[in-house]
Amino acid sequence: MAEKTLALRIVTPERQVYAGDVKSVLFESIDGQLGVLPGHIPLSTVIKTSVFQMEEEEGTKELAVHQGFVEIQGDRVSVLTETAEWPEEIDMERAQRAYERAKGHLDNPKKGITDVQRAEIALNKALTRMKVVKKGKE
Amino acid sequence: MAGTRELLQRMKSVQGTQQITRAMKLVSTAKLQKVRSVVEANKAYFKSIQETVRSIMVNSGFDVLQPYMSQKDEGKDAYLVITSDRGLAGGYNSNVCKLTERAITDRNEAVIISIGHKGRDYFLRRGYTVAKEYESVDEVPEYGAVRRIGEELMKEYHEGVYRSIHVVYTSFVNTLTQEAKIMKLYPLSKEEFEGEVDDKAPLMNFEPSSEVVLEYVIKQYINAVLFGALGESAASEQGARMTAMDSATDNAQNIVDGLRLQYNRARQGHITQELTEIINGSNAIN
Repeated sequence: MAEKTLALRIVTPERQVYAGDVKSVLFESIDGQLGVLPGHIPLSTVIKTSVFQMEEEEGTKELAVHQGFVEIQGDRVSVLTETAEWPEEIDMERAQRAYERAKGHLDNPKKGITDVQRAEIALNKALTRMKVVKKGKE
Repeated sequence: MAGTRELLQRMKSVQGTQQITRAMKLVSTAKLQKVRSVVEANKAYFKSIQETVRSIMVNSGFDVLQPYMSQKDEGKDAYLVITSDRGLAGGYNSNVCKLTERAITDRNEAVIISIGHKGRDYFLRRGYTVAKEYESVDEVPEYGAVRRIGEELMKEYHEGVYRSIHVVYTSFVNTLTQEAKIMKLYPLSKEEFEGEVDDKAPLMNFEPSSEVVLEYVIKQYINAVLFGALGESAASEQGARMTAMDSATDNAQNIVDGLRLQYNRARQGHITQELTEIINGSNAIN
């Protein structure tokens, strides 16, 4: 039986990261986690810095995305994001360092709100990267 | 004998220059290939964003875009001038600078934001206000750096520093042709999003709301436009340098050819003269 699939496309300004048919995708929008199966209603939403999961024929794949938006139309899913990284592209040590630096900023905030916000964003990015790498190894 | 040594020396030095210009041309060719692939990738991304904005407009009407299009009275007109750090690229830098100068009607109302040293120096020399300067992007622009520039500009716009932002860049037509262009980045104008819209597309839903989605999309749109302009400029720079170095190599060849002709004539003249002297000498003895 031929199963319905979603035509998924992930694009960043620098390259096309992924194009192919998947069974489902799972990601975090700013309103919370969102899973998409074929036949979803048309929807545009903003994607958070998070782990983006897709289920392919051969299993699931994950990548880290940082800000962007998703457009679901019929059986087409387009993800336009500023950065998207596969687990093998992530420098774990760098992420770890960024995580500690951001955490240090948050633990003793000094320079006003923008600094805290920036640290939060950095923390989130580092955490997402680390999550993707860990999941990839399992 | 007079002249031949000097001629040889000059030939050598021109040939040395020619070697450099030839090498620079090859380097530019290689760099151009690299930039071009990035520019192509960005085009696809940019188109998708533009379509999304369009579809938001179709679904929710022009009014949602109003906050991004409204004209302000306060602040100055900002011109983001994209040039390179280094010269030897034909008219690449001066075309951009001249176009900017023509576009500015009142220099007291205009501020220059420069990317690349050449643009900064040009406008400083002529007494314009250079509000900000950024390092020029390298051979291949990096999105992270572009995003920082975009975010800073947007922030200053909303604080009322500028009333409009223009980008002056060089559009890459092909390797031989590049064209300096000026483009209004902000506020947005309606025309950017006009065009064919698929009426049959089902109505789009927005979560949490079209305004929130649009805010993100517009931010990405601005960054993508900037990235595109920088990418095209980078490609144009290499293209312009390639053409300039190619003609420099040709010119050097012409000079070398001329010098060689002169040298050969001088040499021949010298031999003829020597022969005449020998024959005359032997005739005198007989």
